Amino acid sequence: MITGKGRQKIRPPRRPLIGSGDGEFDAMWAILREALKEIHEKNASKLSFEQLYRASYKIVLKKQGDKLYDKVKEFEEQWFGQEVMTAIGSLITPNLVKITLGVVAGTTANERRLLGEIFLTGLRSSWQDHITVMNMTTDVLMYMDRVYCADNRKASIFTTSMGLFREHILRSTFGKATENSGLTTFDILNSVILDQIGMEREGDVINRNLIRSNIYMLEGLYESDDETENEKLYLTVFEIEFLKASRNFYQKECQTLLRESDASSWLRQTKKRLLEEEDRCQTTISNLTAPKIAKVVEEEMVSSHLTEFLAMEGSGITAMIENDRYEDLTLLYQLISRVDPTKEPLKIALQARVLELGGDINKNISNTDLLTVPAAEEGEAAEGEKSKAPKQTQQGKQTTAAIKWVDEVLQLKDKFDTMWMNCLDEDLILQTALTRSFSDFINLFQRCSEYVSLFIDDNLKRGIKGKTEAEVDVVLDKATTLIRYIQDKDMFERYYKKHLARRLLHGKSESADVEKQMITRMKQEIGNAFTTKLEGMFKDMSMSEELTSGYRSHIRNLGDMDRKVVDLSINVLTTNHWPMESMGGANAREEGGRHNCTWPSEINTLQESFKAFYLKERNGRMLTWLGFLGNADIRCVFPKIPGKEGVLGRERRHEISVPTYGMIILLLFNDLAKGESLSFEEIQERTNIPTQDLSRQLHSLAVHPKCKVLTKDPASKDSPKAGDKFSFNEKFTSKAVKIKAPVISGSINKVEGEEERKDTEERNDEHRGNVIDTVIVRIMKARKELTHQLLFSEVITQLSQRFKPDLGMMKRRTESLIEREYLERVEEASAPTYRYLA
Amino acid sequence: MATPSTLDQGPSVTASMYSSGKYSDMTIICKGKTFKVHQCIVCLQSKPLAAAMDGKFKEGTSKEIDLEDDAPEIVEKMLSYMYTLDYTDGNQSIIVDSTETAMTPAKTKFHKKSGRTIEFVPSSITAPPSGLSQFSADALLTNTRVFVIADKYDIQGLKQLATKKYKVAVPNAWNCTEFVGSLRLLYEETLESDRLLKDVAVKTAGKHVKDLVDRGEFAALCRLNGELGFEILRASLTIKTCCPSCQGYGSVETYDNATWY
Repeated sequence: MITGKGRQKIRPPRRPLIGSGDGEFDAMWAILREALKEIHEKNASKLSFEQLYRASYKIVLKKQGDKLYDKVKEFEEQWFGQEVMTAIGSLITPNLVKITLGVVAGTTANERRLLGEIFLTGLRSSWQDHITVMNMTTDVLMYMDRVYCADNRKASIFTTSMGLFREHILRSTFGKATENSGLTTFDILNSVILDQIGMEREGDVINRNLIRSNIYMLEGLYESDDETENEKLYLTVFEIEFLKASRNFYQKECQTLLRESDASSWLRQTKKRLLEEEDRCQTTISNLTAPKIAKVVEEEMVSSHLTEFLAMEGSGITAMIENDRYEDLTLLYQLISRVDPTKEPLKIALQARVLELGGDINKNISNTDLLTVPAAEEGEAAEGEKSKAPKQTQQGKQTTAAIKWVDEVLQLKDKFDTMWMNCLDEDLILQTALTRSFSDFINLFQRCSEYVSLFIDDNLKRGIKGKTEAEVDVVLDKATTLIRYIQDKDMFERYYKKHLARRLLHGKSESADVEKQMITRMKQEIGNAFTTKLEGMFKDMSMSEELTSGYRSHIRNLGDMDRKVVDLSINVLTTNHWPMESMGGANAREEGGRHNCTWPSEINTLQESFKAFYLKERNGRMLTWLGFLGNADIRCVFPKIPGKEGVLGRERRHEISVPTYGMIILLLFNDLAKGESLSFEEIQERTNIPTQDLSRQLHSLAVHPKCKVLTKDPASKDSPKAGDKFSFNEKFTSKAVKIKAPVISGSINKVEGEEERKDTEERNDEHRGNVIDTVIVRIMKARKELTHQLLFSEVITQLSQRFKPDLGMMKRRTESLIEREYLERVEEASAPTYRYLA
Repeated sequence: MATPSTLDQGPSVTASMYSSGKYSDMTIICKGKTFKVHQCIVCLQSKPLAAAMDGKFKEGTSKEIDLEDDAPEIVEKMLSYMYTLDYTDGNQSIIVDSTETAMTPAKTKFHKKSGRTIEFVPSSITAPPSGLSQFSADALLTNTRVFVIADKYDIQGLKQLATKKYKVAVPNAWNCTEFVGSLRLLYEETLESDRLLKDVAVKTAGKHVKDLVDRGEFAALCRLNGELGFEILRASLTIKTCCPSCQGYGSVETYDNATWY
């Protein structure tokens, strides 16, 4: 303000008219002075506030605020020197000083505590008196504080008096005992409080309120009269010492625990300490310290020896997981997340554990595989010894093993999931880590794709029978989880297609609805491309149903009732969607393309009729009849055998359900005269059924007792082979009218044998090769030129959804593409580089 | 309750508290006059009064405070402000340039109060009137005294209001003894750093310094209080060298070098 300067120059000397005489000031100061004394002696109740306020107001109005300010300050200093300091001085006894210096031996904790409490009480009451008195003084001098101090940038009387307390009491040395040592009241105060806290940590009961009051004092005082928030004496004087002492304490405690206890009690102790310290900040010292002391405990108790505790035998993380010690794990998780947001140590430990346990499961299964193989080879003797378990073929056992493997994996998954939910607070980082580990060990197991698909197959065939929707959902969820883990999605797709095809064609599926749900889930999980073919299969099935009924009404409309009616139910399968090779027809592959058997004339006419019907609406399609699939119900009449009583003495009619091949074979015997027979070769010649399939069919029709409608010569239990002769078994009897011919193989999904498996892998590799080719060409076409490194990493990324390509295979494919002149090597490049050839 | 309207319910509630004195928990005594008031109203607006009630002094226990140095009518205005956020200063010039019907109550009131008969003359800012200005003149003193008490008891809102009311009254009454009186009060009863009302008064004085200089009491005051005189001088210079609407002072150089000086 410009006026300021000019005003001061012109300010008139104090004039009696304005009433600024010294006499008047002295009179008013005398009143105030007397009143201050009364206030300090706690006799204020007789004083009139109005009178005192008015007195100070007038003094300030008369522009004598500075004089008043100085007088009050002087008064306070004097009062301090005479009254307060003597009181404090008497509190500081030589003993107390010695304890602070740590030179006294032989005082018990209890003595120390009592001594400390006396000191703290004294200091507290002196502080509280000071505060009360100064509040009243400040009230009386309010006008001065507001107007004079603000205008002249002087610290308020209150602040000034706080400073007096700080300088004259806390930063001074008292008594003879301290003079030599140079200890200030601060040092003694710190040491007493820390000593008391130390006692509490050891389990003693201390007077928390008393300490709190003294802490309040430190919080109310500042380093300087500026009163900046982070210069509280509490922070600058006490807290530092407190944290230092605490760090020492916890360092020692952790060492002791490491030496003498196990991880479990370490966890509990640490948790207890953390709670204690939090509580201490609430009740004894200041909340400001809470995060800092928590950090000290975390550093000293958790971080410093974490790995040692985790590795502890019998109580470390291995034991916790092993024995489902959820409480320990919860604590561990809580502590680790305090010190490390990435939870690295816990993550590593969990992952290692998953891999270890998963590895065990894998190993166990591999062992059972090895065990069952020789057992099965030894034959029935060995099987008989093997408990009362239902008779199982080697493959059947392996299928059980597969399901067992999946079950165990799921159990493990459940275990970790429960743990994750209960103890790990559903932590996302850890979930990712666990998922990765599961995926790792599952993919280490070579047959995972097959086993998982088998598991789903098993459940969709039988497992979900009689289950509620919710239960089915759980099963599907599990299946989906497993699929997620599988790396080689193409392998899985291959197996799933195979298993699904069998389920569909043989009507083994329990519920079309659930099948569709499964497909939907896979679609969400893996993507559209994966499920289109599977969906195609379903579409084929429903199309076929329509076709069948369409064809039936077509036949009815023809009114051609003379013909022998063969009821045809047909499934038209789109070639691309169905895994032809793996569905059956053992030799189909070897002979390249589809194998055609010779159809009996009845069937042939039927085929022609259907073909005509089918092609009427769908021109240009090709229908191939798959003899090795499908089945037929045949009505057989067994004549009564003369001279026999009972069953054989009557004519018997049976409906026999046989595979299509079986039907073809049986139809041959229609034309045979009684007593005639057909040799294996003859049958094969007339039917053109592949040897292996033929042998199997004849085995079920002529050897198996359940449906022995043919007789074999020689009548042994061996599998039919070339040279055997077969004839119609007139003496066949059965209690059931409807008989299902036992199926030797084909309709049940089982674990593949070694050879089969190798085959599947080969085919899969072949397929992969093609996929890799496509991807490489696509990438190169877009990029024109790319280094080897970049190309390969790009390929791997693009394929990661489906499978993890093998490096060797990628190299081979690249070579072959170069040969086929899709690519060429760039000669002059420093790093190996390819160029796309248009 | 007199007015059930929801809009002005707040002030009307406290106003009725004041007028009835019901549920009072504090007494203000001033030169024989007693005010029954409420701590929640009074102490929340004035820290010194709060300190008196809350402290361990005599007043803290008796809940009775004797403002022996203050004037009862001014204390009343202070309390009126605390309860209703307004007080009356007796000035009527706010409604001066309105229709005549609006003037009528003012006229009657004037008659009642002073007993003098004076013709009503519409006033304007440029031509200070001689008659009606007595209202405004009284208002000047009242407002100044309210301002002082507001400063004493630390009621910032009241200081603002008093200044506002002073501003309204001063154009009609600058040429009165009371204006000079208000200047004197301001320079004796408030600290020099408190510019709020002083700026208004000094500016008016500076504007009309030529007329005021002839008034004996004004000259006496300036002689007595050099600081006041100097500020008025500077204010008058500012008005000469700057446009009147400009609130700021001219720069030091401008008037130092002025030939006029």
